[in-house]
Amino acid sequence: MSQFGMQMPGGHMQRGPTMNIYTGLLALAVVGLIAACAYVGVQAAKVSPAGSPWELQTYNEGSKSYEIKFSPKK
Amino acid sequence: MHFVTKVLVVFCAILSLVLAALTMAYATNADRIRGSFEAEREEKLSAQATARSQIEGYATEKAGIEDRQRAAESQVRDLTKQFDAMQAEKTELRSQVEQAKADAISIRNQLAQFGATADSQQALIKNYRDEVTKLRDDLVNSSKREIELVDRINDLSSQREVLEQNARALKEQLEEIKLQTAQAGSVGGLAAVSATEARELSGPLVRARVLEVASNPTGDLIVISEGANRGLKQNTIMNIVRGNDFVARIVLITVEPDKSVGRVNLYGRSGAQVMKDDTVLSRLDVR
Repeated sequence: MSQFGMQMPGGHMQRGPTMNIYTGLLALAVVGLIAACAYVGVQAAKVSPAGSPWELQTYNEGSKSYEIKFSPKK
Repeated sequence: MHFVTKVLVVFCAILSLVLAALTMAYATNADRIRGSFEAEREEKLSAQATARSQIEGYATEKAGIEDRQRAAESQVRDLTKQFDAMQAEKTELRSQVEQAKADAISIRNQLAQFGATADSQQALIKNYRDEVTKLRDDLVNSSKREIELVDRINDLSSQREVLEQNARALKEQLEEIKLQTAQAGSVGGLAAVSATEARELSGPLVRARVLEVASNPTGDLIVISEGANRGLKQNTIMNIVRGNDFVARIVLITVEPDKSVGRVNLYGRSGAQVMKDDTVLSRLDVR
């Protein structure tokens, strides 16, 4: 019945979840992931053909090789 | 679990996915770029090798080209010399052409002058021809008139000869009459002797020329160029001179109309001699 908020006699007082050490670790992980994503995004944009980090270098069937293009430097 | 934790977990998951995707894209591009880089490098090496071989070929070709260049330069020098010589020759030929043009102009001018001269000479020749024609006509007319005058002169000469013959006959008759008159005046045979004596011719001076000299046992005989036409008669005395010197005296023994024959008298001068073309005068006081 406790799951309904009812306090039964002899039961402990129900408390809410609290932040613990894992929350802090997760926060650090989030910060690291954000930094990693930013850094990898910047570097991926440098090697992408049009400046977008998601784009890939295209393959040219005529020359049987990849057409290596880079976004112009800002 | 705390709400923040849940949010963080969700963020972690999303960021993990994003990071994975970015990493895959980055890795893929990096791999492709690396592959291209390797291919470019190999291509570069092969190109460098090709370039080195080409450079070596170019070097040999350059050496050949340099040889050809040197040959071409020497040929250029020769051609330059030939060009200079031809330029000099061209200048000389040009001067010769100018000279020839000047000569042609002078010749043309001379031809024009010759043409003008020919025209003037043609006009002169025409004038001369006209004048000669006129002179020939005048000469013909003069000849005709001369012939007429000669005929007239001949007629007059014949008339004069007839008249002179008549006059001489009359003179002879007159002399005979004078002689007869003298004989009738009782002088008798003495007068007859004087009629046959030699005497000088009276009247105008008669001048003649010795035509011929003939030796004769009775004395030298000469023929003179005048006769009865000039009034000469038998026994007429004529004088022969040569220049200013007296040579001899002759007595006419035969008289014809245009010549006479006389006997020479040298008066004993052995060195004197009558010659042809000596002058014969009727008297010596008029020279």
